[in-house]
Amino acid sequence: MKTKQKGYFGKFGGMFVPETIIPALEELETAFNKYKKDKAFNAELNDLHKNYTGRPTPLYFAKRLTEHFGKAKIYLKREDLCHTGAHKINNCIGQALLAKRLGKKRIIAETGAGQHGVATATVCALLDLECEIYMGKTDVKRQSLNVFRMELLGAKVIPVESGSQTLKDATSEAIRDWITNIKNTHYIIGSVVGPSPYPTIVSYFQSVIGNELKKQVKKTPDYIVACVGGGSNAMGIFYPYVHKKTVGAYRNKPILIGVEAAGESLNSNKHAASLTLGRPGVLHGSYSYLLQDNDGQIIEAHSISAGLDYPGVGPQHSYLKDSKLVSYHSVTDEEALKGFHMLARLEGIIPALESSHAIAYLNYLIPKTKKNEVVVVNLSGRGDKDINTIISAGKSTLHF
Amino acid sequence: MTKSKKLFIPYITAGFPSKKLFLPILKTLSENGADFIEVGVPHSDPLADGPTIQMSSKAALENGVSLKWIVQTLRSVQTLYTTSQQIKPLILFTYLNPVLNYGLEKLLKDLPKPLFYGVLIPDLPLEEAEKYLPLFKKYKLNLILLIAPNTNKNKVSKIVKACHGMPHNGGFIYLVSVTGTTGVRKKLSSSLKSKIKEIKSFSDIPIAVGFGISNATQAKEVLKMGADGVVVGSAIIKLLESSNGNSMGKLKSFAKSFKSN
Repeated sequence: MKTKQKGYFGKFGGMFVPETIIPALEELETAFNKYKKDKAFNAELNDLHKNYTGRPTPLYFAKRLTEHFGKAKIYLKREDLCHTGAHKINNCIGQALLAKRLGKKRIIAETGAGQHGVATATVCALLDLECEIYMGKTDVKRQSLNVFRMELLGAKVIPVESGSQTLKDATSEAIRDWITNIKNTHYIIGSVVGPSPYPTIVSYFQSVIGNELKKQVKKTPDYIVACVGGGSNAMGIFYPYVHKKTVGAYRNKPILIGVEAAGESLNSNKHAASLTLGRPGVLHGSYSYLLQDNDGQIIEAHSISAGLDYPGVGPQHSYLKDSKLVSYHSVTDEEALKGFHMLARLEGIIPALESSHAIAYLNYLIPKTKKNEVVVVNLSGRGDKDINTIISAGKSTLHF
Repeated sequence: MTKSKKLFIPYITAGFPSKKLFLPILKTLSENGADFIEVGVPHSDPLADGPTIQMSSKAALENGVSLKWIVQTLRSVQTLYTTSQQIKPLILFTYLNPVLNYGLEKLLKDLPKPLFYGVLIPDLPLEEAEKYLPLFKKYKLNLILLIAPNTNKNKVSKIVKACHGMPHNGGFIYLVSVTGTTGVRKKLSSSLKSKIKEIKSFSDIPIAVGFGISNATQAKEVLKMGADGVVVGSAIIKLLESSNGNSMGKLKSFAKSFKSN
């Protein structure tokens, strides 16, 4: 899906960062291109995936959920069963192994929900790297469990007090740190966002999800559903289905669906639906859909899920939206909460609030499906971290 | 621009501390030694800036400052100021996203000339800027390009080459003094001197050093290393923030201190 210009997906992507960062991006790209073909690198990555992350993750047939709707068969790709509880570790291990080879001793990362922070802290403990995590002050409060986990793993969590004090500001602050400590530090971006080559690298390391899925299914699924904040779990599971030269052959099957956070509602100005309601612009180093005002100032996003609470989205998703290879929809906070309870009660699986958005979309999708069709939902993470949010949301959404 | 003259280039965030002080600040700096003035467009997410300019950016946005307002304000006074030379040539310092919303070509067209001398976009490195260079040429504005301490020799030569293709050889090269964001620093990088020498080996385009320079002593030090000028930003913002009432007086003596160099 890459187009001719380096680092671009159609007109999206690029590297819109201060000059100080450019040499590090070039160094990273060279290392990535070298090591992704390197036998020893891949052996180490695969071994860690198998014995540490717990891959391959199961493709689980959700029988009761399927019976609940009485239509298409619903399968869950169980990324929630990855070590640390979400797909984020797929990317962290890959990037940390690259950082080691680049001779970087210090790792920084941004985190929203804390899942990427925990995964980064975990990998840094494993590989003996110094680790500092930037996290918006609002998120430090609502994801306190994950803050504690990061600290237990030896990472330093730095609360970010600028702007909306969420993922956007944590990312900005991590970039500022990187500009300052560019020589000894590698920045592990947690999603398919940021300047080139990050979207390419992160989607490559996350593609393990989709590549496994391809092996696990007997025939191509009819639908694949994933939540989209920055969009890394979605890119991971969509990857083999969009990275074909003959894209046309895949237009009909599987139908790829990205689910954004509609927050309080799409009309409320309190949402995070950058693909649905944003316009293209530049944030954090790439040109992509963005929530912004007419002067080009970034509008603060809102979502009950800290991991989706981001006003931008990865440039590949912008390209996939415009080229209509993926269709993007959104569900509200309340619908996501209902999705959360639905999965907990029907399948005994407590999903992350991010993944609950993908689950909630089934209420729209499944009634339109046929019994012989197959729907795969990427269950990107588990919901233990969200318990405080669920408690304060009350029990009103218990009835799904 | 004559080679022998040393350049003092203050940076201000437009509309900080208030919209009303925007023109008086430009005037005060112009009358007290500024050779160029960088006019900062406030942005919600100023990635290259440290805490001081982040704060001024936020305050200016709260004051209702936008790129449109800056262009309109300066267009309305351009005749007055350029004929009497009350305001020195300006350089628009802006992140890319406000420019994309305004429209790059429209902006280059609308910026009053010769009041405006150039545009500096910190998140538009040469790799992304190349395709826009003909537009800058068309509207006779320089795109001021930055060189960082870790920019390699090959890239330095590319940047210099791009400068030579612009109206006034790009005006000057902006050398970032440290790897880091904008903001006051106690110590200057030891590698600065060799970087200046490296750039000079390619070109005699003037070099202005910025990021972290906060007083005349540091400025002197940088000029001694072979630089042709200094950019001072955060120190001015701090001064404007802290001086209630007598900000113009303080600004005047601060600016003057650089001219004794």
